[in-house]
Amino acid sequence: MSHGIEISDVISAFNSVIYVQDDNQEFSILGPIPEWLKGFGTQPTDYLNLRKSIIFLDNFIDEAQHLFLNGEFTSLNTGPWSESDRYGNEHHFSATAMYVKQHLVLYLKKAENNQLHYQQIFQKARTYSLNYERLEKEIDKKNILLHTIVHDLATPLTAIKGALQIVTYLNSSTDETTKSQIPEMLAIALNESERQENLIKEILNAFSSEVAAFNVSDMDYENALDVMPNITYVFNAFAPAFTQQNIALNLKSSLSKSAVTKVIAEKSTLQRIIANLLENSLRYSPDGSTVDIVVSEDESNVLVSINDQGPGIPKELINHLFQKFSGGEEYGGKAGLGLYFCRISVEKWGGTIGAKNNKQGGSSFWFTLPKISASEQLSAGAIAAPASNHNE
Amino acid sequence: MLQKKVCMLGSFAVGKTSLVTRFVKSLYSDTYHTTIGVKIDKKLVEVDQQHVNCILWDIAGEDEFYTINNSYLRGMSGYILVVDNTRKVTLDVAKTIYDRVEENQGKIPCVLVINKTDLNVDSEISEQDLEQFIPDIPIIKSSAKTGQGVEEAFTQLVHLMLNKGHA
Repeated sequence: MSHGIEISDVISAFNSVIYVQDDNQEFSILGPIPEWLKGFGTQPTDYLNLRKSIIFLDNFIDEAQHLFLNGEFTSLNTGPWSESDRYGNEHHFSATAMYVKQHLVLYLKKAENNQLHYQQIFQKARTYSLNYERLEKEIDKKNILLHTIVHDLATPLTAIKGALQIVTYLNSSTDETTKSQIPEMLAIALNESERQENLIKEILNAFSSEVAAFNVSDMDYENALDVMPNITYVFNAFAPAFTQQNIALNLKSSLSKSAVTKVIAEKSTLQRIIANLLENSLRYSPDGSTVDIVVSEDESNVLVSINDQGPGIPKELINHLFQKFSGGEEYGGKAGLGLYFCRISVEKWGGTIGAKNNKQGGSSFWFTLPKISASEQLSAGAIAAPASNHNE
Repeated sequence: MLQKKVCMLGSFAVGKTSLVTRFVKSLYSDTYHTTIGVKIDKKLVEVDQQHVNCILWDIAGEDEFYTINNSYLRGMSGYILVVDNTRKVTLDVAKTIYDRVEENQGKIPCVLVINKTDLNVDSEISEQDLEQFIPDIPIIKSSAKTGQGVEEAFTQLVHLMLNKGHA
């Protein structure tokens, strides 16, 4: 039966090229040479030399020969790839290598619609995968939010409980001078109750705006905070609890008293960070020890460090302290979200946070926040009156 | 002229193709187009007063269903491990790839690129995480979107390759 079709017609119709390796290991093209192939290689005649024209195949041939010599294949597929010709036109290919009569034969196929279809499917799968990842993160964020809420609601209780325990003790005294300290302790307990109430309000707000409330990064200079009053506030709130456990709590600051040191931060979150770190130190400090809050600054940052004389941080935990669920019951008996919350908040404000064991014993938990320069404060109209009473 | 094969490796959607496109064509697109198989590009660079023709093998990113074909890595002189700053899981993937490359190919010059740093607000990778990555590997923070760190990443890798650094 005659059909008049030559093999070269078939190769051409399939938009393909067939290379055959000769006894000298050189490749020649069997059949017609398509126009698109002539654009490959750096020189106009490079297309005749397989290794100079299609970069991918140069690599693939070596692989095929290597595998064949080891008897590991009879035919080998490349999978899809794309490569540009010297005019910048991108072409999609796939190829198959096989040995025919001891000669390596390479079938190069220029892909058209089928590869695009394959890409679309692949693209959809990966887009779904990315969306799935995002949804998982959203769920994670909500879980963190929930745990943080519980954690935060519990934190003021420590201060309230400490103040009330002192009230009980003072109240049992017959000495009027001692008893006269009761109103001060009650004021602290009341303050902390109010802080807790405010937290509940914040939480309700957070729920109404969901995760957006958790993303506190969109701060501007007008909302910049003076660091010291916030540290002092938390210091005062925690002092009774430390006294109750016979732990000395000191606040040491080398900040300039004549100027306001402002940072980009959100007030309640900054207080929460300091409270979390103080609460940690309180939990691990032994009876009769000292905890120092040290506030210092350099040209661009404020550094807050909380140094305790506790047992230090276990080696296996030190690199994971600020990760989510890092502590657990082995270290702190909490959900392990407090320090994670501290880290993501500080980092969102452009700061850094860390912890280390001190040579002389105990540990230091520290964080830095970038200072806002006077010009930035001026431009935002954010200069406020200097803090009048840094409690040192 | 020297010719060096450079592979782009990492998880999917970390920005490997965007980095190559930024480096080769100074272009960027926000649209995500997944790479199928391999995409090959070329770029001539001058490092340490030497001209090097970099053959860039932009290899499809790994996911749970697709692992990089080892044959693609044959003959590479160096590689860029790309991580998405906003997806910590991609750092774990990078570590797995690094270990696999080292096991199969031995020590090869490598640069770790933390891409998408323009999305720093959503950063999931901390300095601590990076400190725990493989020591002695240069780490460069980049953004294919802004161009930050892109040239530096490739230049540093070429420098390592020329000096046969095994960082």
